[in-house]
Amino acid sequence: MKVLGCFKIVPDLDLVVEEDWTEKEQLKIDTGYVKLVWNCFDESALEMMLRLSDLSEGFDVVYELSALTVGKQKHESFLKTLYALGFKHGIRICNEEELLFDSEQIAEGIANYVKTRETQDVIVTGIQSSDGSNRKTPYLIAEKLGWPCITQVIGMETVDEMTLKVTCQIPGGELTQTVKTPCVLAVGNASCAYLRIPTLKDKMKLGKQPIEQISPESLGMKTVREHAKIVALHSVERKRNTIVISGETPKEKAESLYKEYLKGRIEE
Amino acid sequence: MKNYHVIVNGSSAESQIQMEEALGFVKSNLQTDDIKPGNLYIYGKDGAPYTQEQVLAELEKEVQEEDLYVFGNGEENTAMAVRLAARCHGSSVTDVQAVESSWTDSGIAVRKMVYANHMEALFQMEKGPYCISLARGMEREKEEMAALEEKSIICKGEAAYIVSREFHPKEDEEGLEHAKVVVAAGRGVGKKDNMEILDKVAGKLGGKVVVSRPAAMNAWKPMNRLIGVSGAMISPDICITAGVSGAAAFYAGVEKSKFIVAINNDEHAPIMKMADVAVADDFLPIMEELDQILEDR
Repeated sequence: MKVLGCFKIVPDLDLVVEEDWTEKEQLKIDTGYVKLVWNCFDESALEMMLRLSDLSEGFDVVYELSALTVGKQKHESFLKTLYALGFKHGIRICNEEELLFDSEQIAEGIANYVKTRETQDVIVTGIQSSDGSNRKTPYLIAEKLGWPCITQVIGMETVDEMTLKVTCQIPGGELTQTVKTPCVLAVGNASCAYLRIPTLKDKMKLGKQPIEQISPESLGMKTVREHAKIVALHSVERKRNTIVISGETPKEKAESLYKEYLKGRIEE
Repeated sequence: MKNYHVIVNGSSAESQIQMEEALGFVKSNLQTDDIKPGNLYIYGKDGAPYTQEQVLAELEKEVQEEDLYVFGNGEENTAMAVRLAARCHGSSVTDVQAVESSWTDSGIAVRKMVYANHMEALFQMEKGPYCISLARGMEREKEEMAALEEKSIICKGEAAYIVSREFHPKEDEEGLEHAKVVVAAGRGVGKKDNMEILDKVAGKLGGKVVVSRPAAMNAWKPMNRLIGVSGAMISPDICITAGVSGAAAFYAGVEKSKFIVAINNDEHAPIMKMADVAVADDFLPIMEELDQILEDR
């Protein structure tokens, strides 16, 4: 079974300094100086793929894992990590400009990759990225391919070469479904959150395989129009008039906190 | 004249809340002259767990090119809004907070949060049908909106790709939404063992312990205690944060708290300006002292 994990590398937004979260005429924030991280939902999706493959022994199903990102040259190190973890193909759609509110374009590229380059049985990706926060890409991929889609996925298990057992969160509980491929799975708040770390040996042995580079033009991405366009970006005021509790010791501070601020409110 | 329509999943455990929030959104955003109420589409009212694809196939037949379709919050609603627009060659925006202006010559403008809740963006939707899903935590409107005409969506046939399905009800953290006091743990709590003191303090205050995303990812508490844009949104009387930095995605979940206490050893952490009261110290000794005070009272 061929499984394609689509991921985005994003700036760690927790590290963006406060002054940079201000009104921007160019409709984006300068995040170029902060470290890059896996988008959290995509990271879960990739780890989930590895676990699916790990646990398939004895099932007579072979998983061929691929990973694709639309991104910059400097994002290739992340694809190398995936090679070291056992992914068979790493693909970068070479886009040097930042794509933030361009889900149509990204979905078009991924769908066309699957249609014209390398067919797949399952596409796994996170429900949204932190920076663009669009929450559209997996659903647009499903529509462009005409595949069904399951969202808020938190687990995948092996059944056989043609089907998968997929668990997703829905209001009130969890739904476990056995589904036929092909399908798109949008990963949500899964408990396997972090991607494992490759060994040095695997890094040396597997991490140097060539990454397939594809131009966005050849996948028809540049002719796609976004029908919903960002026209303004505003900062949000969240400050309260904070009172800082003073005191020499934790005991003094805790007493002050309790007596002056908590006691009355608890007794209300 | 253009119309707006509301779509609700009648088989969902949240259908009542979804409906009330959608009506609240309609009341505060769509009571203008240029737009009239249309239909209230309810699917799965018979308890049938339809797939998105089944419902979309039926909705597609109903869609009017220039109308607005309002879906509730949550991932299924979001997916449906995006997919319906894609099928009908319209435009979609998810997690919408408000309509800025409706039906100008260039479409509808809506507001939503981007950059993991750090910034607010205005999106121009240029082509109908206009399909939106709502942000979480809209004001709820309990009164029936008689103006909307209720229509049930019945889907025929089975979803071919589903071989079997099993539903496992999970104990919902019901108390969370109504808790008067919460103690929120962040990355700074450091390790699972440190959660014990938070449990003790929360217990003595009659409250609940909740977690930020990094703490949930480390399994310090189960996922159903996650607070923030991807978890629960709460509005307790008192929210005490311990070792929370104040990431915007987390803060969105506690923003509506009446009173926020931040305990963090970094006096420059963003949370220290977003709280009503801040204690610049290690959370552990402060919580231990607080526990003692509550014990002695």
